[in-house]
Amino acid sequence: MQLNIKHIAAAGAIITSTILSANAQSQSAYFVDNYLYNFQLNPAMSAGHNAAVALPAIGNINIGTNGNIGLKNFLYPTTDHRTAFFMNPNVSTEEFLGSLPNSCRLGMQLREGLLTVGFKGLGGFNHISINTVAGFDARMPKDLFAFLKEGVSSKEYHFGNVNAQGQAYAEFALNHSHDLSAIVNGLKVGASLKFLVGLASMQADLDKVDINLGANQDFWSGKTAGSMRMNLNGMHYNINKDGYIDGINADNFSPIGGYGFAADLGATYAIADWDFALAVNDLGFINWKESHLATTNGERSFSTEGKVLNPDHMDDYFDELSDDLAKLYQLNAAKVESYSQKIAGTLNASVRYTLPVYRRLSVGVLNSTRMNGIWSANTTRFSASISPLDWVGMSVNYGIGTYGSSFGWVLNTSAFFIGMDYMPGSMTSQMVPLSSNFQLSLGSNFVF
Amino acid sequence: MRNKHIGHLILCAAACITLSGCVDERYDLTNLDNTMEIKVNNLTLPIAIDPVEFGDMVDLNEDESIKTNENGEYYFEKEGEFSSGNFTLAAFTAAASTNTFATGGYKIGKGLPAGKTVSFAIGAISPTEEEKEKFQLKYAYNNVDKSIYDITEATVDMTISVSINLPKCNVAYDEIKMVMPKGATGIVLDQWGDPYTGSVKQNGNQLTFTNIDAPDGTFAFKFQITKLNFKEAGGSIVNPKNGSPASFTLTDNYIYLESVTLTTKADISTDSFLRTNFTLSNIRIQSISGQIKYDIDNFAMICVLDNVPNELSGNDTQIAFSATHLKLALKNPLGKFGAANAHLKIEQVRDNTAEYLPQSARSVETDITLPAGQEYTNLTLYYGKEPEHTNADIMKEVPNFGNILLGKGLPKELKVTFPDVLSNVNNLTLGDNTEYSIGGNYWFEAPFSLTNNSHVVYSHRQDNWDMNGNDNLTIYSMIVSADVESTLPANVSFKASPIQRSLLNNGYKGVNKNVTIQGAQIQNGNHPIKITINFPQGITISDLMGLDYTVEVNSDGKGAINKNQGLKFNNLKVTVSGKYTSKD
Repeated sequence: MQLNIKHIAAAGAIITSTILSANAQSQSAYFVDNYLYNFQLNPAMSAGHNAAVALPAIGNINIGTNGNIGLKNFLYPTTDHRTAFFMNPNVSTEEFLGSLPNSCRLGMQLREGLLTVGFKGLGGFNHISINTVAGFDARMPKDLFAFLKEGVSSKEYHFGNVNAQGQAYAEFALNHSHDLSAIVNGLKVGASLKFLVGLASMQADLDKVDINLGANQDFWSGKTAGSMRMNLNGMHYNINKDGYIDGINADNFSPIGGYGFAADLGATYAIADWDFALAVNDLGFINWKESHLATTNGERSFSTEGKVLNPDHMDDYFDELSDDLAKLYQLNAAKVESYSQKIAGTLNASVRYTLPVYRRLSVGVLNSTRMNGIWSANTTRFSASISPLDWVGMSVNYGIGTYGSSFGWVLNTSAFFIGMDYMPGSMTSQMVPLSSNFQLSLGSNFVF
Repeated sequence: MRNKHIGHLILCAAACITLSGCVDERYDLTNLDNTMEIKVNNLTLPIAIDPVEFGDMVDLNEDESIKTNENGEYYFEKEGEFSSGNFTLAAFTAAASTNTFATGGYKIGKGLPAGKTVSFAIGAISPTEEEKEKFQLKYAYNNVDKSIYDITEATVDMTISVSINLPKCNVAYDEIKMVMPKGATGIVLDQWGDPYTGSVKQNGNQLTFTNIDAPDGTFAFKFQITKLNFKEAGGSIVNPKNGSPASFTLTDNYIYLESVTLTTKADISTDSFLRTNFTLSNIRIQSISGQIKYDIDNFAMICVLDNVPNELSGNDTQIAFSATHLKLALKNPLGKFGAANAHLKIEQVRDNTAEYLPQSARSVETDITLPAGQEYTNLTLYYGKEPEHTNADIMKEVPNFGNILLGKGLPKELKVTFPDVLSNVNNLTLGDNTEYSIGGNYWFEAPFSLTNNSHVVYSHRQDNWDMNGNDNLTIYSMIVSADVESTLPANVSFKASPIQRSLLNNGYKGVNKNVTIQGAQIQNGNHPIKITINFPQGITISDLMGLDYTVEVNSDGKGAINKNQGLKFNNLKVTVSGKYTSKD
């Protein structure tokens, strides 16, 4: 088996089940009083308890998928009460392509708190937590689907910007929030310091796939450029006799691939009935001990010019074409070296207004921007929150952003919480969501 | 405690997911329609092909019958031997219907003076019908070898014994004249068979005896016939064609005493009667001169046309050959005895029906004469250009000789028959158990040299485009264009019809005859071509399986077909619009 760009996608799919970055933390609970994990969205926030402890492993479970495409873009009900794929001739090209964004994105996130303890101290409130974080993102251009649906013509196609990335790591975080009202009335600041233990990460970029199927020329030609980086300890690429990567050997895989550090910084400011908050999270990096880069070393090209079909040796002709096409995707292995990778940072900014007539009710707006290059995303969520009792709070909200709009809700008690930023919406008869956007947070904790 | 919390959380999560979503029954993953359609819109395929030459199309093996000469020209070659069964020519013996008879008495005393000649001339004067019958040589035989068609002359073994008596007289004969059978050649012996010591003259079939020794008035001798001219002797062969034995007859021939001259010293009794007795032996025929007709068990020479490449022998291929010629070293077993006249018929033997040629045109016939003095005759039959280097004794042009290969596919074999070989023989000995047979060698050559009006039709069915019965291949249009450089001594045209799976039933081939794809004709030289296939409106080619196509090569009469000749496609472009649909 040769490792080429085609395998990049496959590798991404494998890593999906193990890795990733991203923030699946509940945003619906952001404005809910007494929500234990606000400090992970803004380190200056604390729930105001004397102490808190999460049930190990189930104290804070967050899982989510998101994307601007979903099953609904690719499955269509038919008039004879069946379900057809988008390549079905009864699905119009306009209907299918009209439903797709120019850049189709899919992602998965997982954040699980293994251990969280909160306590007062150092003049403020402190959290010690151990979490695992994983995420996967992929994107591909709409043109790729147009190529499939519209049909092949003698023109130029450009399928670049096919990317995938994923990360998985564990963080050991120490958080401290401190009330500075003595200096500035209403001001609280906080910070989290994180020690990161990287498990694995990958990034695949198919930067260029240019295909000319006879537009303004009498032959077919193609150019590709791409790379794949696997940050995995104890693996190596198998190299064939031609010097190209022919597979992956991970027999000596080691679960700890690298170490890193990150910091969260935040502040809140309360004035009258208004609360303002700003936080920058996950400013940091992981240094991977072994980074395995596979690349096309610039552009690879292919052309049928000058190739002659001998009718008596058709197999030879197609074998030669196949070999030439395969070279488009063959990768060379670069020298294994350490690699520092920035983790995705998040900027959270919010404003909240507490109704003076009923201070257990408030409304607020949270803008969350994930800062990660081509994987950046933004959500603005409008919330209404109420805490009818000291130990019960809930919120409903509406969000809009990169992955569309959604309704969210959360119920938080002193013993457990559950909520969804993205509800699955329509589902198939087999309960499979038709949209790719889904987010669920839940956990069980004890507060004192 | 912890398990309880976990259970609650899972329950809550499941409830939330379920309650927060709604099932759209229109989407059912267990009832998927897997129909897929892939479209191609005016896609130009990057095809550049090597020149298509005859040498590429016809891959020859050493043991095949198609070969190329030093000029690279194709020709069909087949050689072999043939022979009939053996036969012998038996001698036969014919018996006279009456082998002894005598003349009536002639009364000498009627004034016959001594020294005078008395002419009897029994047959010549006034033979009675009875006498005529008695004196006639009449032979018949009904079991003559059927190969003997005619006898003009034969070497025979036959004896006629003659005895002349004149009792009661003391006479001697000065001269006796006898007339022997017409056409007979023989010698005179005495009555015991020894050489005759008297005096005898032969003038034709007349014998004149003198100095006769007949002390008691009796004179006897034998006439041994060694050769018989059957035509003069009234002989004939009747050889029925139904296979019955041939018969031999010898009639209307007479022997008689023509005259007697007595000596002057004769003492003649007036009541004496002159009487002659004849005794005829059988006729044993030992050799003949005449004609023998060969008709040996419907003898035929079979030339099997095997080991021919499929491209040329397939039932969809029609090939025209020119300058076709057949060389025969034809064995005439009786050639050394004389010339022979033969009638040759060469016909195709095939299973299929040649659509391009009527039945009557699938065979040719000709007459030939095999020269005398040689057993084998090198014979070359041809049409058109006279073949070179054949060393033929006989070169004979046979009109439309090339027809014997014409038709769809090559015939399985060529059948050459010699139904009536009439051989002239001279002094052919019968009955010596010599075995004869007809046979020889053949070389069949058919150069691929197209002449005017000849053409090659190559039909082929390309029907494997759809390997899966659930898949559909639909082509809306196809445009094939190229600058074709042709070195073929011919003009090439192309036509095709699509094959649709929906038309396949009851053994029908699925060809949609309503849609004909007609290609531009390629002529010798360099010419642009463009074949545009646009299926007419209203005709749906939704389950295309392939093409039934025919390439027709019409000769321009300018030369042979060489393995290096062919078509070179420059700037070849194939542009296709269509779709491929895969169903459940």
